[in-house]
Amino acid sequence: MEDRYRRLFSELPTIGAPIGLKGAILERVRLEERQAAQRGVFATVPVLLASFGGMVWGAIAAVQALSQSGFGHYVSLIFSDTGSIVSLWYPFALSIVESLPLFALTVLVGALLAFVSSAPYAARSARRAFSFV
Amino acid sequence: MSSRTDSELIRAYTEGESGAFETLVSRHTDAIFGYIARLIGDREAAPDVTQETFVKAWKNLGRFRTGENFKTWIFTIARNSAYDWLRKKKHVPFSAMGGEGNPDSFAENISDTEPLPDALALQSEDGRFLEQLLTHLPHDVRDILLLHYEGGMTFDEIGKVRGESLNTIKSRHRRALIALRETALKDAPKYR
Repeated sequence: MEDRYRRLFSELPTIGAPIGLKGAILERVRLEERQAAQRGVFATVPVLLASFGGMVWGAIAAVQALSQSGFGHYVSLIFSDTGSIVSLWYPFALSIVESLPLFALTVLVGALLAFVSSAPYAARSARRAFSFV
Repeated sequence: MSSRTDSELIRAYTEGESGAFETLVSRHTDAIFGYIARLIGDREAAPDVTQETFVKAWKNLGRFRTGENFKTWIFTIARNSAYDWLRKKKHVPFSAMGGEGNPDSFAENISDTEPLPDALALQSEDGRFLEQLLTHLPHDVRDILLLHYEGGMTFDEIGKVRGESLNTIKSRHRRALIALRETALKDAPKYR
């Protein structure tokens, strides 16, 4: 029974897509792609700027805090008095951690990660958004 | 035409080969256009709906799971786009046929082996008669017939496209054939 209907339907005239439809579809997809890329650029530019600002601020703050804290002194002890450091490694480790500008370093590392992870996406989006090929 | 499968083309596109999507479009445009044109019954609007289908497919390529059948996936999008268009145009495509599981449905009592109506069989060589008949059927009925006989889909695949069980599709298919026969009997004199 189904075969008879299959034969019947095989007689249906073929409806081919109009000439130019494929081109129109691809053009529309390219336009959507470009718009999506532009949205991507607009979304990542603030992230890039903020992360760059965070990196600069974090680096300056970290350098200032490190120079003011006893961090440099503790580091020099590692080379000058290694034996004491080995025997008193736990209090030494605590002291060196306390002397670290943790907040500034956290901001610096966080901003660096944000910048490194968003930069390729921004570059890719920018290439797509502003290519008119 | 590329010998790569649809899934391979999608993977290639998501990995940056922009030409892969072009191949996919070339491969499926005619089938999707034909299905949409017949389902909505408006060839003027069909190019726009087809375009919409491919744009939606492109936007959702990330959701396409490897191993999934691209044909059923794109036909699902095409069907939804067509129904969206029909809804906008207020051609509410609800079948007038009996509901699922209705014991009194007359469709359940008609044998599938019933021969094709003579009018339909006689004129079947002229596909335009069938084409006219299809335009007289409710969209939902047309949908089943087009997916199965034109799209060459199995009932299982149609079930995936429509989000319905295999048994429901089989039942709907039976009813669709009955509706086609009835329409043929009713409308045949008009085309003689």
